[in-house]
Amino acid sequence: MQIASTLLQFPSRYTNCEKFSHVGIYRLRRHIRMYLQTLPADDLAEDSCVLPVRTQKPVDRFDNYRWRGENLKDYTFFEYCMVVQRCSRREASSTDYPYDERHPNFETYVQRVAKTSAQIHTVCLHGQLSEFQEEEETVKRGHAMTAAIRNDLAEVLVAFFVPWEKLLALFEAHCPQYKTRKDANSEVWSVIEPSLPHYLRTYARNFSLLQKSKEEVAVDAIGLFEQWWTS
Amino acid sequence: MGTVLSDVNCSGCGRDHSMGYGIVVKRRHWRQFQRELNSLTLDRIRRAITALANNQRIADATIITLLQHLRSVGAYEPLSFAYKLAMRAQIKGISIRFGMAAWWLTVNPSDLRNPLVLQLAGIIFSAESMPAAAAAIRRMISVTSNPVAVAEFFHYLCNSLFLDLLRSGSDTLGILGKVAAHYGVVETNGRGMFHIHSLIWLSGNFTFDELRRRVLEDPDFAARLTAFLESVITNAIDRALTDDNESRFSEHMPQFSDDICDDDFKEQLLVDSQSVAVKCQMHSSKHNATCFKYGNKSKCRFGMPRELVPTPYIDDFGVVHLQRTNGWITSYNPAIASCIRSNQDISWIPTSSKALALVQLRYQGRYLSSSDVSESRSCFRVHVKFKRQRFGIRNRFLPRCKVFAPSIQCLGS
Repeated sequence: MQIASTLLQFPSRYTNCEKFSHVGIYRLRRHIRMYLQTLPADDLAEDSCVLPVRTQKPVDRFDNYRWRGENLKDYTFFEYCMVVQRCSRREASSTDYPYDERHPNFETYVQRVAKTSAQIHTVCLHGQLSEFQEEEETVKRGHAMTAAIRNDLAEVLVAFFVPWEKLLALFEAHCPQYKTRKDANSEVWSVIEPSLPHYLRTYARNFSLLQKSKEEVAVDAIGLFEQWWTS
Repeated sequence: MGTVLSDVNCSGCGRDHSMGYGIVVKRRHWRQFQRELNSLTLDRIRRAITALANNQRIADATIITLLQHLRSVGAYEPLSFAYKLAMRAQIKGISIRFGMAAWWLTVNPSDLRNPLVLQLAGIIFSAESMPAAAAAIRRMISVTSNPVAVAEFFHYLCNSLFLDLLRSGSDTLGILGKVAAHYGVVETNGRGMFHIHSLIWLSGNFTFDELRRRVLEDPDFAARLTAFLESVITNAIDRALTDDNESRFSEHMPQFSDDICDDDFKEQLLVDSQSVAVKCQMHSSKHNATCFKYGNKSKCRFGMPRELVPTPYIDDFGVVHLQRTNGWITSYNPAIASCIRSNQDISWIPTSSKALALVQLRYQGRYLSSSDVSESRSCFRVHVKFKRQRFGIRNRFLPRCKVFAPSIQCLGS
């Protein structure tokens, strides 16, 4: 039956969200650290990415965002992944936006902003929200929210919800010792988060769904106790 | 160089691969890699292939260099482990976009009993003229010899469920409220028949904390939420109807006249759905092998029989306990039961104990990555004829949706 279904090209999953933007968290961290100058600029040379053969120079989503141009400069990376897509210059309309002139594909592509909800992409994360995730996974039916894990999560949130060009100034303003402080990200995020627009705060808040909260652990523990008591 | 080279043959000609493959390469190696790749010609590649086929060494230095850098070759393979990981990432992405999932719904369509399978298989029948037993046998024979009809049946049923009954993504009211998104993963059972586990997100993007706080602090809101859930989820069977309905179970959906009033429609639907529930939602009091398949031999993994709840209440944690008058029945939605006429399991996630299993989305992860079976490894050709047919669910049920599923928005903002 499965063979018949596949040959008939029926889906193996059913969803109304068909458009996804995939973001590797590991690579996102590297880009952010490069912006904050905690990683050398040439570190990106070690970055691997999937590239179409015809490209004259490596270009990926991060490059597109970096050279998104003046018109889209206020977009956060999360918004950019959701609503901006590349479009051939031959099919461009007056509502599309050019890349910055430094973009390798400036001559051939423009940026198109979604106009309907059907054109919005869902941002998918690949990789661990925290570099200590494996350690966390070993906590049976629980969740270890250490300062290091909180800082890792804050780094991802900062990368997604603050325009990258503003990062350096924000870190220098709110945490001048950010190059040596291990909790710099969580400190800066705690300052920035309340000032974000409501919809971005909602998305950021939803990141916590991918982690387990203390309340759930508490209820979880009660459930376990009840199971044990009745067995 | 750390390269994943998908297809030298086409890439060497300076074209993108027709199947959409890409090449993974480190940025600092890109120019060298591209130069070498573009210098390849079809003849050079053919000579290298011939040399390999004859157990000889490849003479072309460029190809040798490229092969040395080749670490692995990847391709899209449906239902592979990587594909399941990608599905898990998609579920997480939807959760970030739409918030906490509101419903967990499992549907097990019955291919052995549904008349639509026969129609898709091209078998002409008359329900009135066919005794039930003979019909069941005939269907069984046609099903086992016609997997295409069953696959089509499942596909149409899923589309009807999500698009017509739930009205997912349409910004209109469905039977579970205003559904913003759904994500259902198809699985097979031991017999090979499909079933689907799905998460359903409601519009509004409410959170655990917010909902739980309001449930605990606002009695009026809690009462409305409970009433909403009671209208959507049923854990009860009216004993006065049970015995009678078991014999009245029909594999056909009841016909409702256009001028029927809402109260009559609701009454008829509840009676019909109870007849389906008696047949399809009751857990065997003797249990079966699958109840104990994960090691615990003393306790049914479905928690049957479940504790009876005479009247719905909300506990100290804000968990809503819906009325349950039968310990052996699996939760069901009357409209879905009446339409699909087979087994289902529905749960409200945000303020139920199901949420505990759901957080971290590890629960789904277990479902998604529970097996690594690839159909493409045993692929064969099947010639099929399509016979398009869809349920006429939308016209019959959606005008009545308001009777069963008040929008989540009406719970109060």
